[in-house]
Amino acid sequence: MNENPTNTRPSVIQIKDLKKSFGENYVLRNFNVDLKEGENLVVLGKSGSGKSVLIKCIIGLMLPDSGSVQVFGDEVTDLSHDDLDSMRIKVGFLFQSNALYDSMTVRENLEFPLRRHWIKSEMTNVNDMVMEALTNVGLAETVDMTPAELSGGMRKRIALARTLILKPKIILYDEPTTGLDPITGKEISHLMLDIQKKYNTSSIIISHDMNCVKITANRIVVLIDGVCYATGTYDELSKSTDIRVKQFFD
Amino acid sequence: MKKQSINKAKLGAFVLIATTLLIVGLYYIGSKKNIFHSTINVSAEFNNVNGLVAGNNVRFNGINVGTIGKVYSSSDTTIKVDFTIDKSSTKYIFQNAIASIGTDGLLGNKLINISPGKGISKSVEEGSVFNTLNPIQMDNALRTLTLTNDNLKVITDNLKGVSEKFNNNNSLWHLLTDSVLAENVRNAVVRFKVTGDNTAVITGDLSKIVKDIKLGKGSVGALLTDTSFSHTLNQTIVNIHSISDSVAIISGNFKSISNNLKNGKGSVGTLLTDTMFVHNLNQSLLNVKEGAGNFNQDMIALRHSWPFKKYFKTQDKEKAKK
Amino acid sequence: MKSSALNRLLVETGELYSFAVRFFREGFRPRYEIAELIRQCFYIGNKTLPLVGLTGFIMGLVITIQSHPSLEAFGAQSWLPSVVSVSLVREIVPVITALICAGKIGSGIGAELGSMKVTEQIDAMEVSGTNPFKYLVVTRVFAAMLMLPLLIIVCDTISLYGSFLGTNMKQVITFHLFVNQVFEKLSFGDVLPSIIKSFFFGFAIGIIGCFKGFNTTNGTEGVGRAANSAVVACTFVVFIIDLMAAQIADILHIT
Repeated sequence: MNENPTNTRPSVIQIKDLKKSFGENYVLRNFNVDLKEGENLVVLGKSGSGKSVLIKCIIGLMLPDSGSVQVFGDEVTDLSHDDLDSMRIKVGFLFQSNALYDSMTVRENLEFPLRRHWIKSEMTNVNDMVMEALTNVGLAETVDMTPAELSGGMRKRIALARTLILKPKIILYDEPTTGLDPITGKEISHLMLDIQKKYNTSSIIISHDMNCVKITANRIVVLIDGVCYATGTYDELSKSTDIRVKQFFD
Repeated sequence: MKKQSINKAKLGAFVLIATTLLIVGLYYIGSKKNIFHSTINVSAEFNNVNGLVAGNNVRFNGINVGTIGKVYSSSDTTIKVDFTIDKSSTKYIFQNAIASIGTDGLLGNKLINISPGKGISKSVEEGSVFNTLNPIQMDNALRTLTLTNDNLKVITDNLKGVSEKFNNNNSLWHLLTDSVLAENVRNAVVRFKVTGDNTAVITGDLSKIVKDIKLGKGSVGALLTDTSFSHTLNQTIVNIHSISDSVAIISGNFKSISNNLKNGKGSVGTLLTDTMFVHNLNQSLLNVKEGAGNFNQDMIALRHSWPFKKYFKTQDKEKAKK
Repeated sequence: MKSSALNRLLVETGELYSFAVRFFREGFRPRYEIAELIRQCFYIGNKTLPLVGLTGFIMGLVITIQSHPSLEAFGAQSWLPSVVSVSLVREIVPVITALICAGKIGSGIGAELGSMKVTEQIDAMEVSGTNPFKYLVVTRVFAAMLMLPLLIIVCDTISLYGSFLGTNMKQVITFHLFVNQVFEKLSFGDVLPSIIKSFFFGFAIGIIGCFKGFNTTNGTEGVGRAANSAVVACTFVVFIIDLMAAQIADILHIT
């Protein structure tokens, strides 16, 4: 699990010299990372170290101050609004707080990403797609409930189902196990792995939950002070003697 | 949080009800302003419009039938008023109808009153121009009426004085034993009584006339603006006044005579044998009689003078009916 | 970076202005979120109606009862329906309705969008290929603009009925006569400006509520602050618009 079989594959995301600051506070400075096809890349870092900013720059929710973010070879900052939308069909995003729409049922939540795209695609049976995505996360019976009626773990699964419904090539996970108990966290981690195998996706996972990291990571990037401080597999990094890397594995 | 179900039917009902209310409300407002009625445009010219402005009402015999459109000077002395009249009302408004400026209530807005003219004429049509009556200057009319009332008050006061004088001198009859004189006196008094009655009737009539004028009933109201008539009326009243003055003087003389009698200036016998005095007394009574006769004649003349002729005739007819 | 109160006010006004400009830029371009617009119309229109209607009824009743003594002093009780109806339709009902909507809709939108913002739902929409500005802001602002005039018309009617009952407490008047007296005095110049200004009330309430919600920061605490400041700002702006409407109507001689 911890070997990295994807070194030779092409990159789907390339980040070069990414810089982002909020006022005086530089959260990313000259950050470089590549995501290979089929790889689970974990970005490890302390809270407030700019991990979320990194993936929001990838998906185009934030604009970097400088540097280049390429997704499937396209420069994100240069994309038009429509191209950005079509890029986002291929890149799913699982929010830390799930971001389920409180005012909608689970079904409507899952249908929501289709709204934009169902006209152009051949998707004829929306219901089948919803049920398929829900079955993948094992929650087909919740289809007519509202998010408020679900537990935290269920909500995370629904959010994952909503991300999966467009069958993205890349999934960006923003702290997928935060706020969950360790057992549920493990379940979610295994689910992520299952999905990666089933749909052959590539992922960037932002986390500081070492259980999750251990289960999911092919490769780990340690983000400290806005730069890529260390990189390697879980085994390599857990044996690291660097005090700043080591603190994550204690 | 249970998802609130949205009911499109309820939303639709709300939107429809609100829109209907708006449309109905605007229609009601518009119908008062004659916007949604088919109307015709007519006009009238006045010397003075007393502050009439666009938007004021037009009334036909007190019913709102239209709205003022435009008020403007058409020459140095005339103001032209364009206004609209509901088509549905035009059937009974004839071209000879008279437009006048009036007021809605005591403090209300100015408006145009259309009152039917005499005789039959064609119904109004687009572009008709109405005959107008210039606004009655209320204070002038009131001034004339005050004068008339004052005069009438003097007359009735005098008449009251005369009759009091007679009433207070009942003993006179006992004192006077001369049957001729008594007869004369009685005749004179009867005459006076008749005269007084006539005067009372006429006064009543006059007060009724004045009341009617006040109410502006019929053509008499219009007559008030005729200055020559009011002059005549005044003259008549002054005449009545002077007649009753003479009556008062005469009865004053009469009273002093009878006072002399009463105060015993000489005995009654002496008095009665004094032929000179008797003659004078007789003469006086004759004068009184004559005076009363004249007064009666004046009153009869008044009855026949033209402005009141019709009035008294209708009075008589009514009496006859009763 | 100065953060004096004045400076913050200026910055916020500038941001609100550009937010409104963005509304006009995006609001009239496809794609149109018709289904969501209808949903918001239902929430803003139907769900606010009972509250607004009850308030309107009470205002009609109260204004009539309060106006009676002063008119009675002039012996002009018969003017009660026309005087009260003009003040209700011209001023009281539109402003009261707008204030209630500022409280209910403004805070509702502020809190809803605020909580969506802090739980990343707005970002999720963006990522899902739905323009959250169009889906959330444009629909709500349009719904408020469309529904407020309708609410005010219904509220006018209800408050006039309240006024009818109030008139009947002091004197006997038939409904027919009341209606006649009301429409005798009411003119287009009374109704139309109040309808037109209610569009602006709706716009202000919608855009300020959305602006405050859309720019919520600092988590759940920020949601409460967004709702609160939305109500305050909406209330204030309603009065500003009312003042401007009165002045414009006066200049144009719409009476």
